[in-house]
Amino acid sequence: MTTALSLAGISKRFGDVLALDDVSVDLKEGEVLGLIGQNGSGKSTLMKIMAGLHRPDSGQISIGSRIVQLRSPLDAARAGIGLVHQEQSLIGSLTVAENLFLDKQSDFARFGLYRWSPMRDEAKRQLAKVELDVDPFTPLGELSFAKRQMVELAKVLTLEELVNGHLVILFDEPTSVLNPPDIQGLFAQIRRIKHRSSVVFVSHRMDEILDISDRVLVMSDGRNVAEREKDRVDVDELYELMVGKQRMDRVKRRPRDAHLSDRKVLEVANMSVPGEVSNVSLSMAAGEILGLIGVHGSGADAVLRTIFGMADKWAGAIQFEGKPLKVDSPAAAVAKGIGYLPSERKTEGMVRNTSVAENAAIAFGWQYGSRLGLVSRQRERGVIESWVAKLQIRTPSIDHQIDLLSGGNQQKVVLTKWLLGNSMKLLMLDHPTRGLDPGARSDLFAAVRELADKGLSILLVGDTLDEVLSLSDEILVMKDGEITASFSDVQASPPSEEELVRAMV
Amino acid sequence: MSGASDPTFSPRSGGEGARGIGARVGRASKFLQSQGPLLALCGLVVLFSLAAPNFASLGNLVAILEASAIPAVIAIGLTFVLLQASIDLSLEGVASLGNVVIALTVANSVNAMDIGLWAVPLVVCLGAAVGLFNGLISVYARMPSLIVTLGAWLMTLGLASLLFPGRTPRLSGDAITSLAIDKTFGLSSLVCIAFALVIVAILVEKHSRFGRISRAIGENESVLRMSGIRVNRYKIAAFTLAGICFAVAGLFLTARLGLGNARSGVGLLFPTIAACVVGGTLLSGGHGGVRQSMIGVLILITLKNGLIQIGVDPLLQSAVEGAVIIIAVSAATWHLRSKTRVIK
Amino acid sequence: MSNAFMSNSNRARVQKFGSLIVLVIILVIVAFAAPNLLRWQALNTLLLDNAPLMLVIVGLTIPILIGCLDLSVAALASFAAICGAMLSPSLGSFGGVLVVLGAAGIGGLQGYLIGRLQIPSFVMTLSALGIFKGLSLFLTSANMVGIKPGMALYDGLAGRTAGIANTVIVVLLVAAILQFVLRFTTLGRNFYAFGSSELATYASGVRRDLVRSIAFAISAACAALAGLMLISQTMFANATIADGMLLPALVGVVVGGTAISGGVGSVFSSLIGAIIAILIRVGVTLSGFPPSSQDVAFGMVILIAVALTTDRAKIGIVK
Repeated sequence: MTTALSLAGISKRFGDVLALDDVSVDLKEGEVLGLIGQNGSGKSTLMKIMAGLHRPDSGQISIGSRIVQLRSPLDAARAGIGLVHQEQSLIGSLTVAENLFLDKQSDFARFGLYRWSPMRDEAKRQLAKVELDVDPFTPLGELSFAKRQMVELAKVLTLEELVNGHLVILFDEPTSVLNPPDIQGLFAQIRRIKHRSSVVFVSHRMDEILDISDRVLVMSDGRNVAEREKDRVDVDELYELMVGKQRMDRVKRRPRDAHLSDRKVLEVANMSVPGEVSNVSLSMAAGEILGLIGVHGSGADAVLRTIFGMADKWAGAIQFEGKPLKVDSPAAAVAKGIGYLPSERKTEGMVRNTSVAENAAIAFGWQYGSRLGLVSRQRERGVIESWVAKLQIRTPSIDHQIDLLSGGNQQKVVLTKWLLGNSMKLLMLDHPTRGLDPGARSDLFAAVRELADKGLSILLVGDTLDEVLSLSDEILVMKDGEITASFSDVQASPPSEEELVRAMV
Repeated sequence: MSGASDPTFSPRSGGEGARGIGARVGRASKFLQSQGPLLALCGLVVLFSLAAPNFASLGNLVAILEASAIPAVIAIGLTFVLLQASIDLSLEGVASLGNVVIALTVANSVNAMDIGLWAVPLVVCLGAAVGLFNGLISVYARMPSLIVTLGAWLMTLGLASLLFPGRTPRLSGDAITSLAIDKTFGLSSLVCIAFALVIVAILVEKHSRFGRISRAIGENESVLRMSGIRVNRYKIAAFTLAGICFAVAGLFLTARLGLGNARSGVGLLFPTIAACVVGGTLLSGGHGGVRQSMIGVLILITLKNGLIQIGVDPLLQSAVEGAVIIIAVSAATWHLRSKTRVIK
Repeated sequence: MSNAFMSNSNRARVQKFGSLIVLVIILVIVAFAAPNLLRWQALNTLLLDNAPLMLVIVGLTIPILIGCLDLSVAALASFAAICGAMLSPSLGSFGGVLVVLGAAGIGGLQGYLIGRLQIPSFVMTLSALGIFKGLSLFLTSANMVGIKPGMALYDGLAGRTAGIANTVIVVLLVAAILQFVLRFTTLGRNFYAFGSSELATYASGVRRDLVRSIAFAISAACAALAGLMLISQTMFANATIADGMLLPALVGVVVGGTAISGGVGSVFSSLIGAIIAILIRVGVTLSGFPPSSQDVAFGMVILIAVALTTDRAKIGIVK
């Protein structure tokens, strides 16, 4: 079999984080290559580089025997590479046909007016490639997710006429928003198009990867750690490979005092959030660190946001410090002593175009001022400066704009915001070390441990296994909105990484 | 002001065939958003016909159409700009300027100029020039359209005042005013022209690249740029078109008034924007269209007219309109409400 | 992060002092074109005549600071003037106090509804404009209402203290108070944060609806007080008395350096913007240009001022 796409020595760095480290992959014609790995393994970045959305820092990409430069998705399209991802290239208010031909509309317009008939015929032809039988002039927004996915696929397949040869089709986690029957439908289409194109399929779900792939590529910590042909796959081995080097540096935390376990600070009963969380229950004691872990779409973050009052619709009951908790806004949660560090730092975590000091003071600055609502910047600054030193936040001064700091330091400032509160009971951290360099990561770990030791309860949604294993007293694994596994007394008798991954994926 | 995304399509419940109370309310609200204004218009017509004997008379219905002509033309231009999630505040100035320019260039009582019907293309070019200015500045100087068109509003209004001679220029011939006086099927030429323009605009909106891409720009501009579409051109085109429509409105004003007045366009801005929004052409872009804006115009004019017919104090009119707008817009966007949605 | 015209560091400097620079330029132009204007007496009269507008500008700063618009200020000023006049026979000066308090309540309601109904402030305050206008016309039957002299509040507003008009003193006082709130209170900090990143502010436990309500309550109260000032000056009120204020008010705030996108600005800069707006208004006329040139000048000043001071990077895609 000839090679359809070849990547050699690809490296990519984002700020402090090395996302890809000298990765080489050969995609053969007519094969389905499954990419599997955890969050942060680099699989998404690799796919985006193939699709022309990112440019590698080093390494080269070749198609057949010629080297190509993919500077943009358009370059990739011209090279016959198309990406099917969750709706990021479709416009809901346009029709299916218009979306299919978004890049090449001039073919169907004369003097600025559309010739609908030819467009309809051509659209029907393209849709037939994926066996999608809808009126091409249906507005895209009226279709189900599964059908929209098919339109995305059909859109990529329109490249066939353009490139006059083999296509490379990339699927980026296409199944996380599909129901099982739709997933089978998608797989059927992939099997149909295999013979005239090559497919790279990224997923975090082991069973799907094994179902559809001819060959499996395991990624971990930005490296390509193994390739296995489908019939030579040992699932246990794959899990082990996915875990990677994280098992190395883990600092053991000393087991906690037993007496702290008596008082329950948080009890969640039967929480359900439409589309995200399904019947989740958990409980936490004061001073405990409870780690939730799951892949993207597991619903773990939705649990946190619901407790913090940011869910629009949810069902269930929450008890906080023994009393029923009714929060319908973050302000109510904060008043009770609950804090939340969001995963979307830039939109929900930090106040932009504002200084470090103002960011740190936004939640609890008032506790340092006078009763009349006057602010005492002097007192605030003292406390803020001490936290800056303690968390080793690298900033020229606390009056520096937060936007100019590195991601890790920004995250520390956002954390400081909650640390200023003098009656915090529960702090919820949503993927707190996402995008942080190792140094900032361990700083954060140390800070979290210290807070718990002082009696603050921490509910953590971890990005990586080592995060939850290093920090948590108890771990709950979530998948598709439900809890699939729970492990207690983690510091004394930790579960293996494979056990965790098995429940996640 | 980016387009609103649709939370009814949550991942696990899918789009079509979603069940449950939430989905039903969501669908009802969506239905309301798409057909609501038309239903509201029909409801108003029925209500007023029952409440006031004169309302449903031919004469009154004609009056409603006549009163809708100018707002309709303005709304055409506004619609394409709104679809792109921009805004154009300059309409009052451009219309007034158009009015003054025509009044001074066609046979009038103040000077000896008379270019006859050439005044029409002159004014159209004027409007296009202002629109071009708006488009170029907001796109290439990357300034919010609110600010750019606010500046243009002031400048064109001032220009109209500057051009205005000491005394009011009254049209002496009937070249222009005949548009308002001549009747075809009981409707003035203005209404007929407006109607024709609306039809053309709807065709442009539905069948031209400009129309379809404008709608897409309002929903997701970055995807379009990534697909290689020259978004800037479409934006500039929309502003230019708006300028032309506003200038045509100025022509209509001249035909109605028979004179030139530097403030003739004042008071048109807010009702027309309100009409578009009530009809379903939201400020956030990507929604509505010419048909919807026209329904909105008819709703507001019918409301105005009907309130008078049933004897509501005409002075209270704008108050009732204001209340109606709040209710209408809330109802139309009810299904989009969310805690993490930012509304400014 | 640089804009189309200048480098980063220069732009930061211009942003800080932008409005002052514009003011100085205008003063210089006026000094040449209409030197009479810069005499003490003329300035005093100028400020006196425009005190209501200045107050509206000061109040309007807050909603714009949080990223919204309040288009109802002028109509509310007229409405307040009318109510004040109509209440004066029975309640005298106290009526005026009620009017301002009532206006604050209405403004607060507007802010609350914007959040709850989730409709744009443009639409909400536009509708409010219509409601106030309609009510004003209705209450006065499209006529004028007058007040009789002899009421403490109105006479007080119309008087002078140490040679300076009381209205001007009130404006400066209100401006000082608001500036103090912005700089030294939690509420002020919340205003800025809200305008910069509403979502992050919400997720930090700040009460979104309350902040918004207070912002609109402030602009409403200032507008109402401005209306009372108007009536103290003219001794009568009608539905359109404050109509001409909306546009200059928007201009004043924007030119002063409070970004239309929110999060940047201050009451102090709005005062400068107010003075610029007033100087343009008057300076143009006194220089011998026709008064309509005001609008042209306004328009150009807006474009230039905003072009120089807006932070494009913050806005992202500009609509």
